[in-house]
Amino acid sequence: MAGLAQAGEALTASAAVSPGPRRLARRLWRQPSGRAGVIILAVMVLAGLASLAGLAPDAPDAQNPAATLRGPSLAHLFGTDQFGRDVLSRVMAGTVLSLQTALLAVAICAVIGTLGGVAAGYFGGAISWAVTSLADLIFAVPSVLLALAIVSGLGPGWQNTAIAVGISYTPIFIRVVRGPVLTIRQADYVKAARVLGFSRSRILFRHVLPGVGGILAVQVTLALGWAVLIEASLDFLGLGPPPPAATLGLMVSEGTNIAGIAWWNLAFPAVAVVLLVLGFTLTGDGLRDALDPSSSDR
Amino acid sequence: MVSPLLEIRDLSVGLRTRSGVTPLVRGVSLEVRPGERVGLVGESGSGKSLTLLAAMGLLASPVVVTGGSVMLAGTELVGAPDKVLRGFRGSQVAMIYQDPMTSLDPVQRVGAQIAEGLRAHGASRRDASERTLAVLAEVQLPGRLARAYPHELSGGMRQRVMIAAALAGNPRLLLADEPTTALDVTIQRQILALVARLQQARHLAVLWVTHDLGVAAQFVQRLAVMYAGRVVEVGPTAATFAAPQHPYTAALLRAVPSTSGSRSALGQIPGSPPDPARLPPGCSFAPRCRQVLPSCSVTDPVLSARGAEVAAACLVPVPEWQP
Amino acid sequence: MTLALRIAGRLAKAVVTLVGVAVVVFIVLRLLPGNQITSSLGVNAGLLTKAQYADLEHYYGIGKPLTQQFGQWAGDLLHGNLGVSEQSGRSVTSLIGAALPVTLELAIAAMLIGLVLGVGFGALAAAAPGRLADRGARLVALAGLGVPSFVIGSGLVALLASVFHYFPSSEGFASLGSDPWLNIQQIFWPALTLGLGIGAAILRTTRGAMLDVARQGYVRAARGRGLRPALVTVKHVLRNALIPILTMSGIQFGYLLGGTVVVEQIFVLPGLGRLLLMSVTESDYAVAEGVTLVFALGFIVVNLITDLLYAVVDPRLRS
Repeated sequence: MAGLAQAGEALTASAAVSPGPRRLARRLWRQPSGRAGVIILAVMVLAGLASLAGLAPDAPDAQNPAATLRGPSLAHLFGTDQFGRDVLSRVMAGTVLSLQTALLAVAICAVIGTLGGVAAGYFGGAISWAVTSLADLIFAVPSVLLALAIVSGLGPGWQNTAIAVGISYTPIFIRVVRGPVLTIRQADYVKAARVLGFSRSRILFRHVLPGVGGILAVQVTLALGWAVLIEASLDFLGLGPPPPAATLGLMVSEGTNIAGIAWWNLAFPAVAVVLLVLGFTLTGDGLRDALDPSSSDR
Repeated sequence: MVSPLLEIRDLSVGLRTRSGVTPLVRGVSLEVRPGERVGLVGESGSGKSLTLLAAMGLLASPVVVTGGSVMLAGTELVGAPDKVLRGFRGSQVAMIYQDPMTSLDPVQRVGAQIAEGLRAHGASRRDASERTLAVLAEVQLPGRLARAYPHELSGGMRQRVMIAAALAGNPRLLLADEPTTALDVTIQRQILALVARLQQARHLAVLWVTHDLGVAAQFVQRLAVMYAGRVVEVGPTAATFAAPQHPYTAALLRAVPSTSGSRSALGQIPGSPPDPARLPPGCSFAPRCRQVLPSCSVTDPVLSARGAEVAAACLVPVPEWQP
Repeated sequence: MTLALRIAGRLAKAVVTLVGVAVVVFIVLRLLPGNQITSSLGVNAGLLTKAQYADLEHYYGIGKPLTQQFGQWAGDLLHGNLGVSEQSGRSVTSLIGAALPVTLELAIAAMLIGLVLGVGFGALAAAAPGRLADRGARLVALAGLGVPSFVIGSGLVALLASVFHYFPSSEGFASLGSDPWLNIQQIFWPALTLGLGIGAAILRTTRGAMLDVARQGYVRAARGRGLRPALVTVKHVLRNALIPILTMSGIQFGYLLGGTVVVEQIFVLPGLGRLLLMSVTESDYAVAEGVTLVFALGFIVVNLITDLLYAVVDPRLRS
């Protein structure tokens, strides 16, 4: 809540001079948290891209009965699992799955949430009431529950997981976007635009939306981290793509059972999940600080 | 000559940054004798509030005392251990602040906030309670207000509470940081009158910081004028108003609208106070001074006596001034 | 607005939200492919004769208009009848009744751990900002936020089992009444798992709030009256920091409910989370609806309590 108020203030204060993308990127790099986050993300994304390009050491589902449960070695940097599959390749594939699920999920909730938030904030009245009530409703059902229901109803598959995660996060986007929109709507330069007779949609696109851009960037980043977390949890519970899919959540689940004899099956997928979530969270924090240096969290 | 109660000698306060120390108060020397009312006048940013806070040891890093001494009743306060400072705060010297809303804890009752200072100095619960009611009566607030919360009181009432909290411990010196600035004019006068009355009754020494010359004129016996972290003039109020010894003081007086005399345009001081991080060489006021001499931008004038009780830091012997 | 009026308003909103949740849950589960017949009989559903199928349809109320089904279900609900579980044949109410105490105990323990760790270390961090203790605390908090509870939980189970050969969940679950010591052991580790995540968030909030409050004029004024620094910190700084801490605690409780699903699975606790997971994967609709409603109710109740606590903590909010 405090963050929102600060964001609102920062927006009104700097609405006319909101830092452009390049300056923002530079400021982000200067923050220690932002820098760490970006580096971690870069590593993970590269690993994922490498997997997509077929550059992983082995195919993720290539079984090798002769080399089951081998520890980390030169041939298999992260070791092998109980089917002789190379853990490193599976982790890379799992990273791809997590990233694409998170991206789809956040795309869903960002688009719907932003539209909803802007509509609620800008038009007010009945529209605002309807949108916020719907948001509160979705919010009242804890996200894992909602995701559970949707996924078990629509069936397993990464797209369905993404839909479930996306819908549960939408209320947050609505709330986060609505606040600053309300503030900006009262801002002088918007009033000036109204007086000058600019059409509502023009005001919306040219003046209101750019002001919200910074907030959106922060929220999208944080949402991506959260999406990876929930998606991995759902996979862990068996609600994601079924085996032999190489999802990080499944690997952690299976890895826990054999952790006593083959710790690498648990450790490496777990670390991958943590790095993904941390990468997004740190970057999001860094973005928030880069936008509003007076934040009290540092 | 009675020895001074408060003796500030060459006090310097600065802001510690990555690139060094930005001077905010530069070599300020000031005295307050027992029972005396001294004013400290200057624009925002002149360092007057910081001087008071430094005297109480209430500065917070990265603002720190960088030199000088503050003696209260013979004890050195700069660098003194926190225990010593705590002994003085509330019982020997007390402070009242500019904004009564932010100077009172919003979630505690005002009576409790007055009493906690007394209890910190060893009073029993009952004793503290009685003295709280007594001091509330002195500031003309009904005793039942002790159970009120700050947000339930008006601005003037909150300021009275703050004065009560300051005086509850019977200090000998009161430091006042623009306590009337945030109030409207009628309340300002009431508070001023109240403090004047209390000062007389308790023979209290007062150091009153303000940017308002009118307030200073009504209340203080002696005043010091500060500019850009330095004291530029000191003198008895009447004498200073009649014959200012520093061009800055003269300029300030010119800017005060007068109800008598000529209806000329309000005097303005062109330009603005210097950035403490980029002080001009020589006298800090030189860029804005009407009577600037070439040597003013070279040598920084020192506060030197010009008569009994009067001193000024200026190379110009007498500034232009018509009262 | 008086306090009583505000509470009444909140209650009304809570009821409306609950009804809304009920409707949403009902629709979502009814609209999903598959129905009670196929889910309970599985492949054998294809062996039913037409008459048998029609009978079962009538029994389950399938085929009737949705509004009528909802009306029937809502009516039953208000009479305390949440239906019967497919898999076990027991009433949903009794299933929930058995699982609720477990989850309640877990949630309270997790919240306690989170608050103690979060406020404790947050206050320590705020006391010396920028120094080693502060940076260490913030780093640990970051880890607590970034590491998902299923990772912490799995890691903990693996560690306890393989390194310490400690299996508190190998025997059946022990309730608090029957075997307190075993019960505490079985609850402690899952509560710790959840509590670390909660504690991390509360630590950041506490630290930020206390630093903010410490800058306020009234803190300086209290010092100016001669109070000891420790007293100022507790009486003025911490006291005022409680408001944002309370807010964050409420938010964390929301996440807590979802977290129980994962943690109860990992540590094999027979709580509501595990019940929900099983009922959803086995299409046991009645149970799933019932548990979801209970969760939503819990969330709403906690929000109400948080609101009330606000009034206690902040006198500006009373009448």
